[in-house]
Amino acid sequence: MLSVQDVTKTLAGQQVLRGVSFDVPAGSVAAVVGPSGCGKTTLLRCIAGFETPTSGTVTIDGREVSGAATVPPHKRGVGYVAQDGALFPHLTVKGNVGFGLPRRDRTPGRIASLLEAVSLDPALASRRPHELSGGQQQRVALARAIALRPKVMLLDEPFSALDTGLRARTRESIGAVLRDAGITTVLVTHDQAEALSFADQVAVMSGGSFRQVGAPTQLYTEAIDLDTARFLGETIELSGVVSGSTAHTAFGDLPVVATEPGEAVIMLRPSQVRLVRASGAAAATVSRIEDQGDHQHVILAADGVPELLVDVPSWDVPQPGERVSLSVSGAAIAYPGSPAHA
Amino acid sequence: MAVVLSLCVAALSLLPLVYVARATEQTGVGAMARLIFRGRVRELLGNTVQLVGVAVPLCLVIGIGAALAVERVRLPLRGLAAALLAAPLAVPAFVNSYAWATVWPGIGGLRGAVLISVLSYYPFVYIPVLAALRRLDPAVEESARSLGLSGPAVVWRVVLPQLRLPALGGALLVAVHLLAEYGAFAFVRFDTFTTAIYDQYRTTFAGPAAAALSAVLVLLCLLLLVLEAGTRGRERYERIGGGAAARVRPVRLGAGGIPVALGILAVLGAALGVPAWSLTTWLTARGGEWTAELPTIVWTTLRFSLLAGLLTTVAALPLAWLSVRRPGRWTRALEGTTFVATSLPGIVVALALVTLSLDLLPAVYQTSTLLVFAYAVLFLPRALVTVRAGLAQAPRRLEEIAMSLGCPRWLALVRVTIPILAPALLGSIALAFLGAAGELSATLLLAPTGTDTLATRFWSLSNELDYAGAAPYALLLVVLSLPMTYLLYRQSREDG
Amino acid sequence: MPTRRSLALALLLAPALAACGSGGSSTGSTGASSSSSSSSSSSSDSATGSSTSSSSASSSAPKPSGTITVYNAQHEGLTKEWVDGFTKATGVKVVMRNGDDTEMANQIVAEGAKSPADVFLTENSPSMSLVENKGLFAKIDPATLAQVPADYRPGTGMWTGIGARSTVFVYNKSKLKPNQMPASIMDLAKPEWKGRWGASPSGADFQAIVSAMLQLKGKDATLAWLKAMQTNVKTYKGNTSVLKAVNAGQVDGGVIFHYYYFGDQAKNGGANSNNVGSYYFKKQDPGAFVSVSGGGVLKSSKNPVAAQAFVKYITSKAGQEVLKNGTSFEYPVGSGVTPNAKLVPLAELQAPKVDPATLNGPEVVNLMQEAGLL
Repeated sequence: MLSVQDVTKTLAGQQVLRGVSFDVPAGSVAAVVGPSGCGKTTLLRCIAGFETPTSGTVTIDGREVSGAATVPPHKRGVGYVAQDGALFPHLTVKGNVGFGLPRRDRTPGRIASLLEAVSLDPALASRRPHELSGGQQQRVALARAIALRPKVMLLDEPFSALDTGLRARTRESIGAVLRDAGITTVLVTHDQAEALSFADQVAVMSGGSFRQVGAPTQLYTEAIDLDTARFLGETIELSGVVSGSTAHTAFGDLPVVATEPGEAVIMLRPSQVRLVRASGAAAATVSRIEDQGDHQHVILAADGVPELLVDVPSWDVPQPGERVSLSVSGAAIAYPGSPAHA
Repeated sequence: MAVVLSLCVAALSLLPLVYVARATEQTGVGAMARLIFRGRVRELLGNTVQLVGVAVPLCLVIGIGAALAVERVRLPLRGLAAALLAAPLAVPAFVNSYAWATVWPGIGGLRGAVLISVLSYYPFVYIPVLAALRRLDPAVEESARSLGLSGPAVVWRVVLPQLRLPALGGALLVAVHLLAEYGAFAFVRFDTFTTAIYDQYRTTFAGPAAAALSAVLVLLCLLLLVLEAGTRGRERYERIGGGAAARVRPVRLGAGGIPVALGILAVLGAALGVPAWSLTTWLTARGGEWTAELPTIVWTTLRFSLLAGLLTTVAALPLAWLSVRRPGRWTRALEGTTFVATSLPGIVVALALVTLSLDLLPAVYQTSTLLVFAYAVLFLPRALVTVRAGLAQAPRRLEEIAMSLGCPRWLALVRVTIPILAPALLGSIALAFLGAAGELSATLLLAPTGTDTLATRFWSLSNELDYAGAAPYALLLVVLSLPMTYLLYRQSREDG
Repeated sequence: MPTRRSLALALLLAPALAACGSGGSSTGSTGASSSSSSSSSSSSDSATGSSTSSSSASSSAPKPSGTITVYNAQHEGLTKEWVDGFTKATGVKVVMRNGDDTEMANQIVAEGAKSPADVFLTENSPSMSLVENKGLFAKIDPATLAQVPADYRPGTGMWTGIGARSTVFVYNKSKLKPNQMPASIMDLAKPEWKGRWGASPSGADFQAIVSAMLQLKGKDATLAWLKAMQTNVKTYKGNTSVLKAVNAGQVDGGVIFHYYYFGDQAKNGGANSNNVGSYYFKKQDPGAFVSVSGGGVLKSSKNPVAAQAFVKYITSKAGQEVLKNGTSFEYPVGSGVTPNAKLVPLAELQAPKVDPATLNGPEVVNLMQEAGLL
């Protein structure tokens, strides 16, 4: 449906995009996640047609819109929702929602059904943008964008200006609207949790190119490198030596996804680790406990290596001085090399 | 495109400066030094500096005070007072001066000049400050109160600092106007650089002395600009959205409201009452002399002023565009050039255009084209400031959104940018209109032969002390200016 | 028409600029000065097929017709009366551009051969000399010169006197008695007059008086007098303002021309002059100077026939009677017309003999600048 092939973009002498490629199947939702300044907004603007790529192609529904020929933004059939909604301040809600519709289609009924589609009260139709809350503005912006039934919807951090509770609710309702309408969607965000929970496919971007593209679970469990792993969520990292599908660490032997043998950083997600009381050489000592209320930080010590922090539920807490070992669901991932930080 | 157009506009507005430089060069350093370093120039410098030094702070006090009074104090007829306080903008300074010379024939010197200046120019501070006051977030003041500050202390420590930008902008406008004002001071026997330049012109036409004095004036103006830029800090543009802002409720002062009300009445009486009374007196003195040529003169004035408003606004657009959409050091420099060139008094701009048009383009000499062009040069800064503020409300993103909704670029401009910009464009036209309608010295010099405007006719009649004959022209000038002033006032209330 | 042109220009510019961000428009307008180059409107469009050479037309010239432009430094009302009478008699349309003597003289010099002016009228002589010295005047028709006595026109015949005005010391009757008058204008430099008299030094009238002094007393005496004046005088803008100030008692007296008093009496019922007396210095004093107002035809005129006819009309009996019967109260100088009965006859003023062609305006400006008056 939407295909971006090898797109580069240079702005004011800076290479902002360095050969970006990805495909978004029809009706699915993709997220591009990365720190600010990584080029994700520029990528979105290239798809929308606000910027022309320096090289590479953008194809929408089989039609090349950037590349050999350039299709202007208004002929791409691409919807765009900006960070703060970018409502037209001189128009009412009605005027905003109906902006892209042919004049004869701007009927009260049509406007009302669009507002209802984004869970807004149609009574707001005659309000001015500055009389709406932030969440309402965002939904009006979405209603305005979906009114034209675009083939592709681009969302540029549309939830970041909202506070936490509102953000989750708005995200869910907007996600539902887009999926129901079967609109191919690309979301750009710097919030990895948002990306992982919202999208069918996530691309991690940094320094103008994609580090990894894949399904949310795949990315979370099989991050391609340590930086990506850290960016996508909390990690437990310990140094070890890999041989076959086992990593030998100061805290015991752990199962790993098989890689090259040798020294490596062993990465675990906190949720895959449990502590079991144990004895023997391959065990660590609980040095202290930090009470977090709903869970506990257990700090483990072993000879000659940095301490390790493991979260455990508050109902089964080992005592300081106890000997424990790590029990792992699935397997850890080993990234060759020594740990970057102590 | 915008860059090329902006360069053209800036270059054209620099033409008068080129003339001053050329005249200076032709005169030679020695002769220039003799013309500048003499007692008369010292005297003029003293007068000019004193005038600006006294009148600008007074304008700030009255402008800010009046805005605070009508916005924050519960007074009877508050809305009417707020509108009336902006109305002196419709009374040209020289009409004000004429009115005061009528009721107080002995008026003169620095005192008289300061009185006229303050009464004519305080709205330049009042209007932007009033608009800013209405946009202040009440939460800030509430938290200040919760920190134990009294009402007056909140005004002093919280409200006034937030008014710094609009107040300083207004003060700069007042100062630049005072440097270039001519007509008002002729009635009150007060010589500034500009009145002296006018005298020089009348005795030597395009002489070196006039150019020398203008050079000093340009330096003064640069100094003002630097001062203003230094105190202004970094300007922020507002962003749209963000929910409805609450308004601060006005306070009830009880008996304390009486001096406030009296103060407002005094300002209104001096700035509007005196002109109204004088005009009525003169109009009834000889039954008013409504001559047959009046309609022609009104039409000429309207036509010139509207054309000036349009051309000035159109010329300001590319510069404003660059300044908002592509800010940077070069853009700022480009904007600055227009300010410097237009700090020159009308007479110097006119002299420059006379000389240059005779040399380069005789076809436009003594045509309304050249006159309207001169107006555009003179009033470009005020148009630029207004259009720029309007464009800042219409960010590029909105055009992009419109394009993603199926509008081609030009239609996005028509449906989004221009409507958002429209109030600012109207405001810019109104400001340039007011300037052109009341412009005197450039009009006298550049207008086509046989063409009079209300201002020039008023001027020649009042120069002969035919105050009664001049009254209808003054009245019509005020009447023509009132709708524009009201438009500006309304716009300032609706911003943001 | 020029106005229509600038309107069209503004309309042309508007869409070009509105589209400037799009990069699509190709309108290359560069502002007002690049507008069409069709001929200026103010220059007369009717050359009437007659010769445009600078030599004056013979007296058997064709009938005047078309339009002329007059650069008028005379009082607007007075010239308007001449214009109305002339247009009625000949059908020639006259466009007036108003200004001050020096301003317009210098403007004509700056315009040179491109000047739109056909005729130049002044209040005083120095500005006529300025234009004459630049060789911009055409010779005045001999028939016109014959109407004006030689005392009131330069020997060169390049322009002619059209009227005259006398210097006067106006005084506030409650502040000064007739026996307290200065004997000579030179006495006003004395310390006892400090702060007591007014003048309008930036005006051409006063400068004409100084130019006579320069002619009669020499450069050093004049400069000394001007320097003393700088400390003594209260300056005003315009002679009417001086008259008003004297009437109000702001100063005891003032040096202006005689007709302001009569004009105010006639037009304003004496509102600015009822407390004012007029004192004439007489005795060939520089302060008794009678200034000749001039009229000349520009060499560059595109309608010399009508231009010559206009100057001839002004100096004719009909034109000079405007001075006698109107509200200008200036002295007629031609066609034997006597002055208004209210005026002191010219002969009794005992004016010093000064050839109007020798008055040096620029030198006076230099001296006044040196004295700090300008």
